[in-house]
Amino acid sequence: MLVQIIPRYILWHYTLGSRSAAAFGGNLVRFLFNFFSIALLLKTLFAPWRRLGEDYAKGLRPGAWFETLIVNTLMRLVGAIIRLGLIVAGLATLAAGLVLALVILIVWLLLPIIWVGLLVGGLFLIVS
Amino acid sequence: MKSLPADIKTVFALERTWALKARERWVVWLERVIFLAIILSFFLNYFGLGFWAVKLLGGVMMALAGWLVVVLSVFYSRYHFARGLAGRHPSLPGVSWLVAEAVAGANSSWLINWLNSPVGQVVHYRLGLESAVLAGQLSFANQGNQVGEAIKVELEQFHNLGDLAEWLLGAFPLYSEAVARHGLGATQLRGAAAWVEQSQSEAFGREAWWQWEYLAEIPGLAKSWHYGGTYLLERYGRLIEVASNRGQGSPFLPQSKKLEDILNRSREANAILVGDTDSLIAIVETLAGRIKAGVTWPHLEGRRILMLETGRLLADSAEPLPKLVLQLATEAVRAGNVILAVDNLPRLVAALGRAGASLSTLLDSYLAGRALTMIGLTDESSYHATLEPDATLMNRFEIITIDSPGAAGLLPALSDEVLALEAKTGLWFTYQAMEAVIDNAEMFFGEGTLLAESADLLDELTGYLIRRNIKTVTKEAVLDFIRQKTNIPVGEVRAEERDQLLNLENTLSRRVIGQELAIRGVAGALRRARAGTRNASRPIGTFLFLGPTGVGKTETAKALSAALFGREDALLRLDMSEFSSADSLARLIGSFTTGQAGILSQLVRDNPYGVLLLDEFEKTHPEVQNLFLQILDEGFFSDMRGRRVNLRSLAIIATSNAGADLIWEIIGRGEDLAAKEKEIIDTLISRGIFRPELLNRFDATVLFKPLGAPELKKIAELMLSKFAIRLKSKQGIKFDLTPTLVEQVATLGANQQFGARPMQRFIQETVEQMVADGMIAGQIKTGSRISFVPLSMPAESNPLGLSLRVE
Repeated sequence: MLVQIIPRYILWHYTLGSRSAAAFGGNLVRFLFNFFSIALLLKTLFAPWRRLGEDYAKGLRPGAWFETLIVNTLMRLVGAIIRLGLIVAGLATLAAGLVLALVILIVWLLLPIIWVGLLVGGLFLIVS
Repeated sequence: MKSLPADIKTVFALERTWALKARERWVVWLERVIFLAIILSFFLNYFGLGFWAVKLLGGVMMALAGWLVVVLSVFYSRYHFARGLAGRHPSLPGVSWLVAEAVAGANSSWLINWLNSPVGQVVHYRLGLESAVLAGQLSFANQGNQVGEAIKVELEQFHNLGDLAEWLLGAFPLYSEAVARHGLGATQLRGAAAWVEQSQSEAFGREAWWQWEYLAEIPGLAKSWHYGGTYLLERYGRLIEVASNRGQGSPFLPQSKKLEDILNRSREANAILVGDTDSLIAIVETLAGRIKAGVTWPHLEGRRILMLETGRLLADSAEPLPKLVLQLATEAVRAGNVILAVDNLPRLVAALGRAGASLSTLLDSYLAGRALTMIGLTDESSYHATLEPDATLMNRFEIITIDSPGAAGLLPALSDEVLALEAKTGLWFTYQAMEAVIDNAEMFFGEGTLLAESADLLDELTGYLIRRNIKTVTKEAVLDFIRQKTNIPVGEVRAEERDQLLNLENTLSRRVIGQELAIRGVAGALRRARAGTRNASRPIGTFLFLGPTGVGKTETAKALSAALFGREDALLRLDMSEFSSADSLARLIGSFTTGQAGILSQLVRDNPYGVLLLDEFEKTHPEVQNLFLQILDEGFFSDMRGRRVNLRSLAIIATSNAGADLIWEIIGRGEDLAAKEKEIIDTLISRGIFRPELLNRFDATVLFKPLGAPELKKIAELMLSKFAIRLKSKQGIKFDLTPTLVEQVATLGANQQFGARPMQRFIQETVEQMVADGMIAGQIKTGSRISFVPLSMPAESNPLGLSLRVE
């Protein structure tokens, strides 16, 4: 039984399994990019915060017009600041995710060696 | 035969040796042991036992190596289970993973492999069968080598587990016989297999959580920052929030897709859904689920469905309604991601009309473009009455009419609900129990859609089972619950009920005198209904009782109520002569214009289980007879609000003395009444009293013959005995019934026109009156013995012609 399973497993580990581990790394990065909505935040960086804002008054009323302009600009600024904050946090997490994805792939490839290392190391500690 | 690829065989071999679930449990235990050992080694080191700490760490490393092996084997299995065969083995196109698992065993027989495979075991367990026992029995009985025989067949012909199960039934007669012994056939086996496949495929997918399709379901942050707030909308409505898998098994998937196509348009992206409320809500929820799962049009991605509750909107009188509606629509447009649903669009349109505005003029510019996406919900009658006449509004909306799904389309949706319920409560449903839920929901709870009724029944059933600490839900458990709730015998006929059914004639004839023919007809029809040949979508039994007045028609209905439901008050009585005017239909089912509830709708809603007696049915208005055409045929009608009223748990008896003259003539000629049934019915039709299509819809037309002197005597004796029993039990007075008294009551208390009907009153006015007078005068006391004897001289003041003797 083991004779049948072990070679099949090792073949899988270094072919489909490794591809899956790499795909997981890719999925993780893609997920973080999606989770922090980075594309959307960049696209709407200067959009008013939660679509809040005022409509410009009709007719020639420069005072009211400037008032609205200030309010709307403020809303856009507030939106941009909050979005930038999340973009920075997202990018930092994304970087960490990238490192993690790389580590996962390397560990996956080294797993059989790690396994032998654990076994031999453990045995050595017990008998020494 | 193409065999399974070697790597797939290895996965199954591993699964048979050490099942994935068991390995997962091992992983958890190993993690706990390793964690504890690490802590212990720190303590050992701290207390100066460094030597032992090192040894222990060595053990920890070896345990970690072991843990790693198990974890990797778990990943190995989960990877294969989740990916299945699709795309990886072009030699087996379309073959499901579970089909491969089911036949991958070590035995040369596919049947034995199927029975011993984990998935085969689950399928059989869902049917209440132990597949390992079945495999043993089949191997033992396999003298003709039917089970082990190699049958040439290609694996790729089985696209799902149901295909394989059905093929195995056909290919191995021993197997189909064994399954048939448990009352099961291909339909159940296929159904259970489909159920197991549906649940397991989903579970396999979820276990491989690292795959993109599952990670993608986690909602992102900040998506809503781009959209506006919906404070006002949330005050008057509610957000439709469902799980993303809500859309997948929904029986309303096609309607939801049609709705999505409409909402995706570049202009006039609005729809009106016409149908019953439960179905409409189910469609909106399906849409919400599909949007959440991201499987619909890109334009609809990220949309939120806000269901405006008209009741809440109209209850708020602080703001003028047109202004409020405009504010709500503006907020929805500003928010940018709202699909505005209205739970009762006709009500809103009507209320706006009363306020001097109209929805079309208020929102036309929004509705014409893509700025506002709106879904209106309505039932059919309100749609025709209120919405359809508004042509401007109708131009902006596309209509989708929704038909409720039948029982077959319901199984996948209900099986999802059952799985969720099992996860929550720890109950285990057999497939037959789920079938019984659907069958009986149709029969006993038929007011909403079948899906809603089944879900209601499931809810009530869960409480019942938990209270009784029942864990495995079988068909019998479901039927027991129904029996207890409705008092209607369902499922297999039990010994006590069998006696009752077989002796139904005797039971009825103890109360109904001289109508053997009628009793035989009723009892036979009821037995046929109970034997399972009954159509679940019709009432329990429908009878037309024909005969002169006072011959026992009502008494038979009462006796039937007592026999069927164990109580006489299960008799719901309507005098149909009161429903002969033009407004009768509105009085029975309710009126949309006056808002008055219907007498029949209310009566049946309050008493859904019993015997409905329709007295003097021939006198009712033709429109009402048309209503009963549908009721007798389908077992329900729709009330004024379009809500279904279910009469499938009722026995319906219509009585009529139309044709009594004919019956008199036939009896007068000394002919056999049973042989003249057709002649009587033909005459009723030719006289225009009943239409042939109405008469054909009754299960049986039962003829009651006029009562002769011997029958009237028996009735008199029966009525007097009842009085005697009452006297004995309440007053302790013994009342001797003399033949003279019985004779007198039978002769004087009945007449040709009204039969035995006046008899009860005659007894009250004569016998009971004389006894009461005697008691008040102190002549009759407790312990007295009384009887009636002939008068020596006839007296006008004594219509009975007998005098009271007290001993």
